[in-house]
Amino acid sequence: MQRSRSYELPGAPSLAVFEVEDGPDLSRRFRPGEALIRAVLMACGIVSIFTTVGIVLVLAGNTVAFFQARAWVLARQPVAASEPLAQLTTAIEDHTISLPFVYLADGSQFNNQQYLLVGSEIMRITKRGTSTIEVTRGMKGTQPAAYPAGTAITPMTEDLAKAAEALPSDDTSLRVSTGFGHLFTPGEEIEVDAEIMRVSAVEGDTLTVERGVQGTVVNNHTAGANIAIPDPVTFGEFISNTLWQPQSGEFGILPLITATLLISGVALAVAIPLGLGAAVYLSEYARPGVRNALKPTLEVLAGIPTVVYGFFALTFVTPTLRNLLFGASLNSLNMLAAGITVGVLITPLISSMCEDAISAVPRSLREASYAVGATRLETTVKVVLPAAVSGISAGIILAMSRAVGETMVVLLAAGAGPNFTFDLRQSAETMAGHIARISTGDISYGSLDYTSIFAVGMTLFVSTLALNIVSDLISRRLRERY
Amino acid sequence: MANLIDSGAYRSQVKRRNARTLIMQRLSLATLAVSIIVLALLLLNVVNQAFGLVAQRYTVDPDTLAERPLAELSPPELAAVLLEHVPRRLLVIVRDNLYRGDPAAFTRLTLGESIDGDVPETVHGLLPTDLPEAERNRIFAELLGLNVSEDVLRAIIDAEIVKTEIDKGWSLHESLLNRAAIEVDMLTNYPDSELVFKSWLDVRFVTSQLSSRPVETGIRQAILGTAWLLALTVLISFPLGVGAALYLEEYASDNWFNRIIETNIRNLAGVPSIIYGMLGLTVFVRTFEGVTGGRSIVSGALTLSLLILPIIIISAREALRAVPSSLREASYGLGATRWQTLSRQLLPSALPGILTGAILGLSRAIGETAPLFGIAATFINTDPTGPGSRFTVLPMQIYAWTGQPDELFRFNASAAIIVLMALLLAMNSAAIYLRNRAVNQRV
Repeated sequence: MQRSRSYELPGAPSLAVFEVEDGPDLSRRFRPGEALIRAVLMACGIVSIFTTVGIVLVLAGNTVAFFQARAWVLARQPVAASEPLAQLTTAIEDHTISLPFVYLADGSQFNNQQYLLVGSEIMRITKRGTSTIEVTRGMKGTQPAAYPAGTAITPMTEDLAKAAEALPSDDTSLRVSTGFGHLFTPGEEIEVDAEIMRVSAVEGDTLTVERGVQGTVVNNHTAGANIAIPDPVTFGEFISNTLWQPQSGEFGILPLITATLLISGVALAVAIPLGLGAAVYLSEYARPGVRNALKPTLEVLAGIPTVVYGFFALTFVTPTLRNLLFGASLNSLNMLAAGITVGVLITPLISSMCEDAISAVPRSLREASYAVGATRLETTVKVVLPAAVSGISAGIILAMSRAVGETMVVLLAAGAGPNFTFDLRQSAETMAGHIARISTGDISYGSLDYTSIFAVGMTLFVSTLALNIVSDLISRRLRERY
Repeated sequence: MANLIDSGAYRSQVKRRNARTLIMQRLSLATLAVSIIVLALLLLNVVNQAFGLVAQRYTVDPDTLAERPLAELSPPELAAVLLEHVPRRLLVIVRDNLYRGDPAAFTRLTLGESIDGDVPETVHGLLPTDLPEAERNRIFAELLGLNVSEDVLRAIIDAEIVKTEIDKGWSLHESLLNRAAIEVDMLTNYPDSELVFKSWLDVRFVTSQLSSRPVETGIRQAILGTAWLLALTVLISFPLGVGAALYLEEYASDNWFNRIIETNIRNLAGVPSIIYGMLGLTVFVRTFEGVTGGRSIVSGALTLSLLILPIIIISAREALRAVPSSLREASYGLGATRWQTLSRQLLPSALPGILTGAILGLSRAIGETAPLFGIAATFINTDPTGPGSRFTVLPMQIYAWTGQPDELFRFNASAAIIVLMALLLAMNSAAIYLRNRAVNQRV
């Protein structure tokens, strides 16, 4: 009995179907060696999934730990100094935040972030000048009001709450420094020298406490011991606070985000004209010989290690900007030089993606444009660029994602501390720069400072991932169109 | 119609439009020119700070140490100079250069046991502490002369006796164009120093140890660390990357699982390198500390491998895709199995392309600093001895020196950048050579 069957060869075009006489089906024979190789190769592919899962788990796990943790901050309140330091030179309204003042004695000076007492209102300095200070009005529950010229400005120092008398291990009544009782609320926990206590009642400046909660050891405490109150890190604080000061329990990511956005903005302002211009020249105007000679330049720029760009920003860009434009007003670490250098760094990326997008525009479109009498410029600007716009924007978004994640340049040239400012001449720290600086330092694993960088890392990861996905979606739309 | 074309208004309009085209062309050329100028500035800026005049002085003038210049002396003669000038330091010098072990145990071992090198029979069984001091120092000098090379001895003499100090350095640009001002500065601020031209990049810089003094530091540990890291990264990432590419290109059918792998690889290519650093720090350095040895070369290599895997996979897939399908079909037609086709036809003909991608990935890896924060050390003065040792790499040193407040370190950073760029240039030339060979073969 003869029966024929058709076979399809793996990887062969579907035309290659032929018929053979029935026999052992070789393509279906189980080959253990082949199966093993397939499994090994598949495992290689799966490693990449493990990488992603690893990144997400590491970042998310520590981020959750960060938001569950609470920082202990020393309980403190501002106390006015005995003598005023300055007085108002003109009258102010209840909404004025810029106070014109004059010091009462030569050589006196306010401190940054200092609390001030004006009349009965407490304010806090946000920016200190020589004849004006910018303040936040109505702090600590006081009401903003209008004040006449000549009103005294008294600086305040922050005093710490301390145990007013020794606390033996069997005592449950803790007396704190006079006037500090209102800082504590019943039901809250406090920490005194590594012992955690729960406050059950507050009467004036005397707290009734439950000793040694949370498994901590009950100890004797001397008079003058500092008292810390919990300051849980909330998501709301994380995204809205403009201060990042781990040592005082302030975890607001805004300064890191504004610096990241400002530097990326400068970088794009530099890189879009440079990259797009180079792409237009290489794909529309340059003859093949010129093109082959010039294109490697951009590839070399793309291959230079980022730490070398950082060196360039610090030792060339900043001094040059100082000498030519800004003079001493430019901080030696500043966002402008970092942004410009990051811009140079991402230019090759933009130019190569834009060139791909421009050369993907069909020739027929250009020819049609020339046929109706358009010049080269008109063809480029009105036909080719609009047709390539999705590829160009995908390239720009990808470059932005690269700029946001760039570490070395910002670490070396932009600054070594978070700073909430929109002045490009100032130093500030980006998300990536902050992570890098903290991971080189000697901060112990598991501390709040340490887990905080994972929350920053998560923000960075999510934002670059979102940018990459958007870029991918846009460039996919381009592929579908032609 | 003819009238319209001939009319002056039309001609002037065409002229204006063509002029605009020319402006656009020049503008776009100018943007490209800016990129080229920046590249030139970047390279010049590095060279500018790797060479230049320095104000240099010695504690002891090297010319007075011996009757002939130091460069002509043999190792025993150099050791004799050390014996004459710093006899009390000989014990430490011998311990640091000829002994590998616990420094505290050195004086409790006989010379035969402790010294790594030739030891004369007569002193083999002696304990350093048994001998009178003069005799001991004579033996130490003899050991140094026997076992240490001239270059190292000269470096020791420089560090122990001559003690070169550099008060200030000037860039090449200043040295060439502003010599008069520099001489005035020398006379007023550094009257005891002499003005010499120094190349911060020299053989000594490449071969000598890292040090906290800018004048005597080298990049030996950084170069060795980079070499170790590179070797391990190749071993880990190349098989994994090519394997994944083969799977995706030749085995994977178009189903949801394989699409996830593909999308995932594309997305991983865009993750900032500092995030990989956090992953490496948490997983390889902390969680698997027992296996990797914590902050070791293995941890660094694993981290960098994950970082460059997407690059290797994507380029290897392109190389595999470029192999003509006729080759596959011919192989299958002769009855070869899939693996036979892959290993004997596809891989050999795609290999140049795969290697090009791998080299480009590796040159990304050796330039990376950010993922190694917390894994590599910024300062270390022992050579890496194996995959488990602590290490530093060139970019890490460049970063550390650039950030130092002492400006003299900038010159070291520049010299190290030149070494790093030379390394990158060599690797990229290899990649270009392979690419051209592949193109020629295919034609």
